Amino acid sequence: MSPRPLTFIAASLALVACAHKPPEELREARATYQKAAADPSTRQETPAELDEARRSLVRAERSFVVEGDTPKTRDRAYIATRKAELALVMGRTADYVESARNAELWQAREALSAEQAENAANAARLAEEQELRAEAERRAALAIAALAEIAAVRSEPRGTIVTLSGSVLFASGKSTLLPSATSRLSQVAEALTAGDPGSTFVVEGYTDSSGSEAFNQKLSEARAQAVREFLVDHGVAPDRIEARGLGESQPVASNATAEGRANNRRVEIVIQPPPS
Amino acid sequence: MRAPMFSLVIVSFALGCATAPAKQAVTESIATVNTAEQLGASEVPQAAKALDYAQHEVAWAKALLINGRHERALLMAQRAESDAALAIVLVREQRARQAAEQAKTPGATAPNP
Repeated sequence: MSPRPLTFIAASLALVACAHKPPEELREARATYQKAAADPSTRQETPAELDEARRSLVRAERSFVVEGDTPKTRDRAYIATRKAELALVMGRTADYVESARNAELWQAREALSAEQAENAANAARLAEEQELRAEAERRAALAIAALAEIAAVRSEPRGTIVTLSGSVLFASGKSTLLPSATSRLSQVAEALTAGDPGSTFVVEGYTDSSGSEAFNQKLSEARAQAVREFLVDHGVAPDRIEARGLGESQPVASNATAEGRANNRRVEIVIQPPPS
Repeated sequence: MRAPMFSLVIVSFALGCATAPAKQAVTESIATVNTAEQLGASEVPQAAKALDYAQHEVAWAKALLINGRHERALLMAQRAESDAALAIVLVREQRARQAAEQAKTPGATAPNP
């Protein structure tokens, strides 16, 4: 056999091979479909689109078998590629949506946990405050009970009033504490400091109506101040106690009798509870 | 005389059958392209590319239709449709990705994709 027929056969085979080589569009369609079919998200989230891509690819393959590498085959392959890409993109989109939803849920859970922790902390703080308040009230009650043994004690809307007789504390017309008064006032100071640490005190001095009003006013102020200073010296914090003189303005008994005047000469200590 | 008339009727009918699906496909692809444009496909790089292809394919399909190449016009319209549809889902993917990224940022509120 001469070389010429062999060359002819080889060339013919090459032409046949070229004629049956799928076009680039079809190869791309196959690859893209395979990628989409292998993608778990695409399979799970977009089965209808993936099936549509498969059917498009079948149409393109059939076109290639029937018509060969024609523009129509390439168009069909191109469409199949786009369908497979669409399925892939929709699968990824579903993943993003799921991811966003999970992130939002996670944030919501975090916010809820933070809120619960804050609520628990608030409850603990409240319980602690209530415990402290109860303890303070218990101490205040004990202090008032102790005061009731050494002075007259009564309750008024402005607080608990401890009344000390003026004659026990001061000589007539004087504002210097008697030596005998110090023992009782020491007990008062002890009770006040042992009471509710949040309460405040006002020492109020009163006189009878003997003498001029101006003198009585000054005397009541001096006496209230003397008691205040004694209490401060014996442990009451200065910023918790103040003094004021009210002279003869608020008698508790008639000034016409000696007994009444004795009752009017007094020092009252107002124990004000802490604001709630 | 009867045979040529019959042939003419058959050819006209066949032409009508070929024209209608192609015209319908072109109309549908134009609608899908419009949707992609309205969704802002031109602002998302990959979607913009697909939209551009779709617009050219619509123009091409129209030209094929005018030239009577209905079967090819139908395929070209389907290509346009598939490219426009891809542009739309690419826009949605971009928005979903942004929403997911925002949702991962503490304190951020994720918009709906």
